Amino acid sequence: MVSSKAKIFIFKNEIYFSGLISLAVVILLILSILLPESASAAKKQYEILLINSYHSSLKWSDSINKSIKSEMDKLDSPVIIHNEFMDTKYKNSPEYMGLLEELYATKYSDNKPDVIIVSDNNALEFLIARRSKLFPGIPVVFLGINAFKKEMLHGEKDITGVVEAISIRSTIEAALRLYPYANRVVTYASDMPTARHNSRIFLEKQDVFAGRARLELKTGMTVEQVVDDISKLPHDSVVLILSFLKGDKGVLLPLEKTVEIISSESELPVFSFWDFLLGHGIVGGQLVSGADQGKIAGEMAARILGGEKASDIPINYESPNKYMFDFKQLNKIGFNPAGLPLNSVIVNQKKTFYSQHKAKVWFAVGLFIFMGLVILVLWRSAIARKRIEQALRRSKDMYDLVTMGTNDGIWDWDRKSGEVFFSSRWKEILGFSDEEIPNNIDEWKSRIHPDDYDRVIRVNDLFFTHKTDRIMVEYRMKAKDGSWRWVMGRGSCLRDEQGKPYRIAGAHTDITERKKAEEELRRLRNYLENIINSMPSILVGVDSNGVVNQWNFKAEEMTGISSKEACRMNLVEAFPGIADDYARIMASIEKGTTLVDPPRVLNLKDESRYREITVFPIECDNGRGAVIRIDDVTQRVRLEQMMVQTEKMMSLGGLAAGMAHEINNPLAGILGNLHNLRRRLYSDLRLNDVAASEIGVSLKDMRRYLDKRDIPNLLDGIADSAGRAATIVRNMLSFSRKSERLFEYYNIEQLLEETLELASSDYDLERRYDFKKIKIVKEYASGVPAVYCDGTEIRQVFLNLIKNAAEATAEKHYIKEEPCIVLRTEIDSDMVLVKIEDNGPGLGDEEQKRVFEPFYTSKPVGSGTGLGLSVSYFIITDQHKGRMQVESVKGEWTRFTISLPAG
Amino acid sequence: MVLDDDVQVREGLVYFFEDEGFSMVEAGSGEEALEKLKECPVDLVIVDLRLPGMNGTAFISKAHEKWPDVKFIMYTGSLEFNIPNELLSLGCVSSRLFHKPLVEPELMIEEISRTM
Repeated sequence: MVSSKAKIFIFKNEIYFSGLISLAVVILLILSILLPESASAAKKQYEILLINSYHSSLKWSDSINKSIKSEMDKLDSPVIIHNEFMDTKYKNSPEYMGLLEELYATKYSDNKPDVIIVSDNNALEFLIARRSKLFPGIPVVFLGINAFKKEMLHGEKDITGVVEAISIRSTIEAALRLYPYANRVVTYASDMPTARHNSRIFLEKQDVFAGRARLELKTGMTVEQVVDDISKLPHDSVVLILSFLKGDKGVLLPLEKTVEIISSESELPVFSFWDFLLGHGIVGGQLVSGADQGKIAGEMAARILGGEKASDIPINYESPNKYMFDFKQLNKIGFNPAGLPLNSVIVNQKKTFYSQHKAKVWFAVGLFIFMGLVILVLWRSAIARKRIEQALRRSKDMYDLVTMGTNDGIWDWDRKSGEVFFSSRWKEILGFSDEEIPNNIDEWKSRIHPDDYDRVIRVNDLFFTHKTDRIMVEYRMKAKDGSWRWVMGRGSCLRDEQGKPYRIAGAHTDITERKKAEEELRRLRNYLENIINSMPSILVGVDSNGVVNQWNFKAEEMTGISSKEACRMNLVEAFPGIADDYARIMASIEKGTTLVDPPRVLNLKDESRYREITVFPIECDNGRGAVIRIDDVTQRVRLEQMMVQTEKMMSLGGLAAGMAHEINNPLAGILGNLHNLRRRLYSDLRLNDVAASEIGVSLKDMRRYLDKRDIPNLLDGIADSAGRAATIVRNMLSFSRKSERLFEYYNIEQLLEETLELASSDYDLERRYDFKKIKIVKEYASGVPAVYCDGTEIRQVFLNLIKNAAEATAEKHYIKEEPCIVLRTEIDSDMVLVKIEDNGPGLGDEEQKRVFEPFYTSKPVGSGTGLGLSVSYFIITDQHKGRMQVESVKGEWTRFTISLPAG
Repeated sequence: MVLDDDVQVREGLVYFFEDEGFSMVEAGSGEEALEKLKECPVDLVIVDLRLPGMNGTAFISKAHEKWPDVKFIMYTGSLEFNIPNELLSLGCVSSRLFHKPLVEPELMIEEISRTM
């Protein structure tokens, strides 16, 4: 009964758990019903009279009866159990008892039972009092007897049975362990005899629990009063129901009802002592068990039926009480699980169901697992399908996203259906919205630039003509606004079994900007190229291996090698003149240091010119390299040389002038005194005569003597030498003369002509150099401006140079040509140039450098003062702020160039 | 008077002019000349430009202040020297400049007689 109730309870709960379990249980139940039941066979028949004190619907009575029956069923012989229910709770007056006596007497007069079992005190009292009349000699087994004493049998023999005693101490103990905070046990009882008996026992236990809990007994209250009383109890209380109680109308309520009302209204744990109260609201306790008593009594009856005497079977004084608890109630208020006594029976616990239906449960679990597996398999296959769907979807999404999101226009041409797809970006590149142009191949073809058309179609046809799987072509397409957009078309194809392309697709990338950038780059490159080419320097780029990668126009011009030829040539190969410097150039690239060479003669295809080489190492994308700059610095070098020359000449001039000045005084002394000497010897000074007559010497005689001794010659010698020295000194002094007194505007051509005339009439020149045999070539430029100068001095310069030229031709032996002097005038910006050139023996480098120095001469000693060119030089540079240079090729010619400021 | 620091040049001139009948005084520096002029007044001084101490032009300026009647003829070894206008404006200095060495001293006698 208890378990079936629990079963239902669990069943209900499990519904919420899993429909599958309940399904499994149902299946199992059906299976169990189908199992065949074994039938019991009857042999010898016994009869038992079972007298219950109460009525049949009491759970108490029911459990007792069931236990007895199950014991009887164990016997080989069939046992008939006659059940009598005295129903003494309902009626127990002496008249009623008398009527029951009559009933039993009549009922069992002929058919006496083999054993009589009496349940509870009323039945035992009833039987003991009437045993001799009704059932003399018939063994009796009792059970459910409270407060049993031997006297209660009144000396009757052949009686045995099992005593019932509630376990007050154990139950209180259990209650206090389960609810350790409780320190008060309140017990409610009626004032009925059994209750009074038990109340007394309860009160005896006060000492036992002293210090742990206070035991209180409350009697004479109705159920309603009890409920009210409990509601006022502190929370540290535990309730104990010792007996049934009266309802509010004074009617005695069954114990179940009593407990039900109290426990349902109470928030405190309610304990009692009878197993049939479990499920009615009590927590539990060490409970009196009707079933167990019934079992013991049944066993005793069986033994009696088996032949034993009842008096030989000792009375069982040990009430077979069990710890039993209602799990639901324990949980209702909360409990300390450690307080559960050992071997407790727990009802209303899931475990109970499991323990009773292990196999079914396992079957259900197995079934559940199996079904779970089936579900899992189905689920997994569903997931797999979903995944495939998702993958497909993702792939589709990706295609859509790529089509939409890529900056490339997508095109797709299904050759079988002829269907063409252009993505909206494809159209957007050309400035169209998606709907503006149709998706067909002609639309595409019509937009290709005419200049690109053939090429594009040819490339596209590669899919068919060749086995090309990928193509790429850059071309222009006409945009909406009529402009041309550069696109890079890429495509690939899918082929059928025959290898024929059935689907071609690809992308269009808008490369207009790139093309523009390329164009800009090309323009910039051209611009830079132009700059580089327009440079007056030779610019050569080389990489780290010395290979030429840049070769400007000047380089082409100077070497005669075109840029195309030069690039990829080695530097030395392209520029043999630089071979000696190659190692240093490469070292400069290696070290990254700029190399600047001083100017020097570097022969290219032209005559020797001064060149300066500069190497600028550069870092370029593909490593190191260098730019080599070669400048023609001949002009600069010449100018520098001239400046050095001028400096030198000026300091020499200053020195010479200073020296001349110092020499001038002694020279003046010599000449002055020589003059006086001559006068005193040879002139007809009055003082000469006076002095001669004073000493008695005739001047005539003295002069004869002097002539004899050649004195006049000696004096002439002194005069000549001193005169020469005076000339030198005067010339030297002229180096520093800064007179402008005689400056006027002169026609240079005219000055030249005059000088030439003077030269040709020069006796010396005529005599010594045969001037008339020298060919004079005149190359006068027209429109030469007048020059502000000292005409006399310029004439002197010209004469000097012409004389020198004539002298030079005399030194050379002419075979094929003839001696020649060329006179030229030229205009060079604001300068007038006069060039006097001879085809004499020429001057060496050293001679060219020193030719203007004072006293430097190539002529034999005595043939000149060595000051002619120096004087000329100072006249031109110092007095006229002009320039004077010499150029010569040894053995060929010498050319003096005079530059004078024009105007 | 001949004013020249070079004794050979100075004596050469002195001899020359004494032979020509002039009465000569000689001086080796401007300072010496100014001293001698105090004792022996002269009619004319032949002055070398370059002198130790005060130079020729300075001497002429000073001498002219004290003896305004004295005339001066300048001679020099420099080719670039020109007689400053201040001296010429004094009226006591011959505008003709003689250069050393004097190859023909007779030319100077002409100038002396012209100046005097």
